[in-house]
Amino acid sequence: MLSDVIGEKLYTIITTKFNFGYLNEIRIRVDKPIVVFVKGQAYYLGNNGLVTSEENAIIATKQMVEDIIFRASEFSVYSINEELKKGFIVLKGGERLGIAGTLVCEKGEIKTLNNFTSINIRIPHEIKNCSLDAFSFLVGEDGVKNTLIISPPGGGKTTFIRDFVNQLSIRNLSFNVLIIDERGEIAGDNGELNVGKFSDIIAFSDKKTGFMQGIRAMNPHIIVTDEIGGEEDIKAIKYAGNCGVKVIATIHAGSLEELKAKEGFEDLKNTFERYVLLSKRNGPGTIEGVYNENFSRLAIWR
Amino acid sequence: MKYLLLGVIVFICGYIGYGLSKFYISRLKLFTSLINFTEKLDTDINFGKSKLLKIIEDFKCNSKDLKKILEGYTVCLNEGRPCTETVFKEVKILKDDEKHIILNFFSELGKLDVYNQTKQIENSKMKFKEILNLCTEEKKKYGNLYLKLGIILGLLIALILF
Repeated sequence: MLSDVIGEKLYTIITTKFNFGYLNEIRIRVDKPIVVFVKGQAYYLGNNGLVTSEENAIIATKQMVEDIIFRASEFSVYSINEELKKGFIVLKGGERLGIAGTLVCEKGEIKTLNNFTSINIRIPHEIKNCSLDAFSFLVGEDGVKNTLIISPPGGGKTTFIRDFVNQLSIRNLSFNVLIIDERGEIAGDNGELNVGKFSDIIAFSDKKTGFMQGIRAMNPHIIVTDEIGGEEDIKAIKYAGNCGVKVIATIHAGSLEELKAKEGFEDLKNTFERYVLLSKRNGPGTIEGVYNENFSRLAIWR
Repeated sequence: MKYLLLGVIVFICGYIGYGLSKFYISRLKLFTSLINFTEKLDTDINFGKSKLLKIIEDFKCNSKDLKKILEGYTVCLNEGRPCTETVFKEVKILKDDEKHIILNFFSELGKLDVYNQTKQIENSKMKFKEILNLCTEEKKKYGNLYLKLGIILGLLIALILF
């Protein structure tokens, strides 16, 4: 839990001095002021809450960073080497703790990460009904459409797909949903986050393995996954398509133009039937538009 | 009545002697258990990647003093406090330099990667073994001596009074 990890002082400030529900991210860098993102907006964190001047901000120390990682590892840094190699730990509440430091490599292979210098804590939030406006465009009489959710980092993609899966469950649309949760962000470290009653979760697996194993073992109607990119992910999505499984995925991009310019997107263009563009304009998760397979806008919210 | 009183005097002196001997036995037990603990840590960290609190919980400790130290250390961890001399609050059998070595051992525990943690445990184990050798010698020298001295003193007092 976040309260056990960041220490009493910081936890008290972020939970009592401003609305914790709007907190997206905490950035802690050695010898630098602590920065928090609230509703997508950056502030310094001071003893009395959010501040705009650097002088009133709390300055993070190396000890603070090390203590947070020590506590996040349940006092056992040696036990999280695989997570350190990937660069992040997922806490029990589903918060993702990204870590930067010195990568120790041997023969081109990452051995571990030490000498920690920065931490980035991303706080997941359940925004109820945030996918509702787009829902009717993504689910037709023939079932769920292959959909790609697009937004810049921190734009609410994960929150959107989590809510979407939950909406299917609320409507008793009993599709077997398989969540390939590579970083434990969609459903949480132990499935703490609400992803409805028809979901199966394969956590901390790469997409290729997750898709292959999941399709064989769980016979899903829909696969939901986060942050696609790279050749292996494209192959996994195509494999799902060949097996008749629908895919709801997310990707980093600030606009459709940026998406189209992405390497490998050409291969996926014929896979997706719907595109949902999100932004942080009115806070993370703002739906900018829903588009069909030809990128014609089906709906717009302004 | 007189004989009973003399018997009590011998018993009390013998008991005091035993108490002094126990000091050396407890020290021996503590460092033997500490070495066992480092061996358990080494195995559980390398093969099971077990969490530190679980290792401590599962450790069958033969020394009351080490048990108290481990309890104090666990409290420090859970309260997010650095490991300080407070963990020795109820342990009276350690010298200052020994406390310092044990404190160093605990303050590095769980903070390193597998390779460095194993090395750190190995180094600490060597230091504990050195102290254990001294404790074994001390126990041989003084362990039974105080018990015997106590009984002899008791008998001597009895003899004088008789």
